[in-house]
Amino acid sequence: MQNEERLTPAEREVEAALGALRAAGCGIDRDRLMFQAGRASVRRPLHIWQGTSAVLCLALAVSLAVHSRPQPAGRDEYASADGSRTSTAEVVPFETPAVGSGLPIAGGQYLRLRDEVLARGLDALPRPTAASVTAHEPGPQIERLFQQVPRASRRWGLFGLERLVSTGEQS
Amino acid sequence: MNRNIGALFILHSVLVGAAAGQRAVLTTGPSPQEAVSTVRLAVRPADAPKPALKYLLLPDVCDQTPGNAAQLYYTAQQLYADAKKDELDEKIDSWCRMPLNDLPRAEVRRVLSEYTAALRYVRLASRSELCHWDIPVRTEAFNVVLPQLGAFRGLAKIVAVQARLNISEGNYADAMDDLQTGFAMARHIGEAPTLINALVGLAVGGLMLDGAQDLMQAPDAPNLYWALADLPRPFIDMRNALRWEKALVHLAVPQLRNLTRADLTPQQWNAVMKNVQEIVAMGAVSSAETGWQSRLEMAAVSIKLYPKAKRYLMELGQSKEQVERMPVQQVVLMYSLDRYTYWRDEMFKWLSLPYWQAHEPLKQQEMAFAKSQGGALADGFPFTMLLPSLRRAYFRATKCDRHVAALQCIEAVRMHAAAHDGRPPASLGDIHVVPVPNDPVTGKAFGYEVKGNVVTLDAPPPAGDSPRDGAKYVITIIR
Repeated sequence: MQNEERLTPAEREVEAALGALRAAGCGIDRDRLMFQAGRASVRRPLHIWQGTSAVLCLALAVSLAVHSRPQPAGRDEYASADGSRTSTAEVVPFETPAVGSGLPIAGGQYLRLRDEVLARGLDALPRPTAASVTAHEPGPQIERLFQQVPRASRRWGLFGLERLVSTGEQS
Repeated sequence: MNRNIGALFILHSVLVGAAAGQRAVLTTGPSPQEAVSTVRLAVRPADAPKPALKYLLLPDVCDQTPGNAAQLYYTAQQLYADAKKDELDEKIDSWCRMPLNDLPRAEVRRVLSEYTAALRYVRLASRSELCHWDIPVRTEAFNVVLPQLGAFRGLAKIVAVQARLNISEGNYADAMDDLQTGFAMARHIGEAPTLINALVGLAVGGLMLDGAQDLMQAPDAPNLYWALADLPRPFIDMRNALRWEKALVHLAVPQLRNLTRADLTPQQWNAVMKNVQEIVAMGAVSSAETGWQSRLEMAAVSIKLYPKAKRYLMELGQSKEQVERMPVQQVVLMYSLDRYTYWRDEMFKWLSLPYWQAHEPLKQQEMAFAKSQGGALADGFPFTMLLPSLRRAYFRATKCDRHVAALQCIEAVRMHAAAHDGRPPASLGDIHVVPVPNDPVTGKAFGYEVKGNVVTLDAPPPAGDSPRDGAKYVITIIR
């Protein structure tokens, strides 16, 4: 108290300013959280729609990939007088399903890959993809929290099962 | 919502229909059977280098280092993956094919500079004395995992592009160094004990032969006759991989090795059948002809095969009592395996002979085999469905050797022309400066024709096979 009396006006001003400070919150806005939760629950039925679209698009992509591939799949390269190489088509002797691009060549794919390489040569090998670069992780946000559903749960979510499993609610 | 999904289905149907239409359009082009494989080259007369072995396409022993190349290749693959940009794949592919004059050198150099570390390690690896991949085929058989085999595709292409860049800039010594790296890598890959490795090795070797072809056409290019002659024949010995391929069934199900003496409990027999069933499931993916059979349960197959199998074993000398004492699975497996072994050996035995001798009998044998597989249940089922197309594998290896021999012929022509005022020989028999190799596919001399300064070297396809398995080299001799 004695010290308090000795404070200069300037020091009193600092004291008042410090006293006005409040502890920072946890960063999660309750109202915003409830809004996002509500929005996420409304979105779920949409997942069926999105999932169906994804499945159909995938089916379409597979159809296009399989049907649009011309029969002469392998190619032999030849040099021309000017140093360019012309390609000559080579027939694939039997239907050769595409091998996944996963590396290394997984166990159990041996027979399939063997027949593909036999038919198409080097081009039958899956292309290696560039090494994944770890992106800068931004700080947690409410939106991200809702997006970080484990992969398996997301798959269930596709068919509305996520809610069924977590809440026991019949869809 | 329902209306939307319905609309999406209609859209999907329309697009699939369009895709089918596209396919129809794509397949109405010229038949691949009519495709002519023609290589056009323009070369200049060139005498043999002095000393004769100044240029080599594989690293010299003096340049090799002790140790196992595999670890260095794995590091090279990792460095390659770190530097790789997927969007450049197509560009790199095109740089392997485009005319050397059109190569955007500055851009190629810039892209290759990003692969400096990978290229350095792949070079180091290729100079190693030994290459043991330690692929556990013996224990894993059909389940074997082939580490990073796909990355060799990318690595081989950047080595090939670097060689092309060096050729286009007149740095022939560096280009030879790159080609040595590629050829040694091809041999290292091809020495591993799987047919896939051998085939990938051949493909990488083919890429490097294209590079040698580019070098042969460059102004003041050295004559590569002796460098090509120095390459091992066969370039990749397919028999090594096929020895393992032949054993895969027995490695996958070790109990099959002693079926006659097998004294297993019913549970153990079930385990054996389960193993076989798993292999059948893998084989079903690879074979369109017998795929439907794999869907049958082994139990149903066993019941169907049992009477035939029983008769077969009795014909081989087993008494009726002996056969009836055996569990059904044992009888069926003994029969199937015996039939599989018969067909397998009837085809594999031809691989011990040169291709030109093996081609026709192997083809006949394959036809007989295909016929045996067409009945209600394929002979030797399920094991026979795991056999690769041996003739195709053998042809791929011989095709690579044919490429080497054809280039050697062209170099012999260049050498002859250098000694005869730039004139090509009237026939291959007129070349006396060096021996001219035969076509390893036919066992005979390449077809040869001269019109002015244009020489045609003809490598016909194996008898009765598609023209696409042949090759024609049209060579213009520039004086």
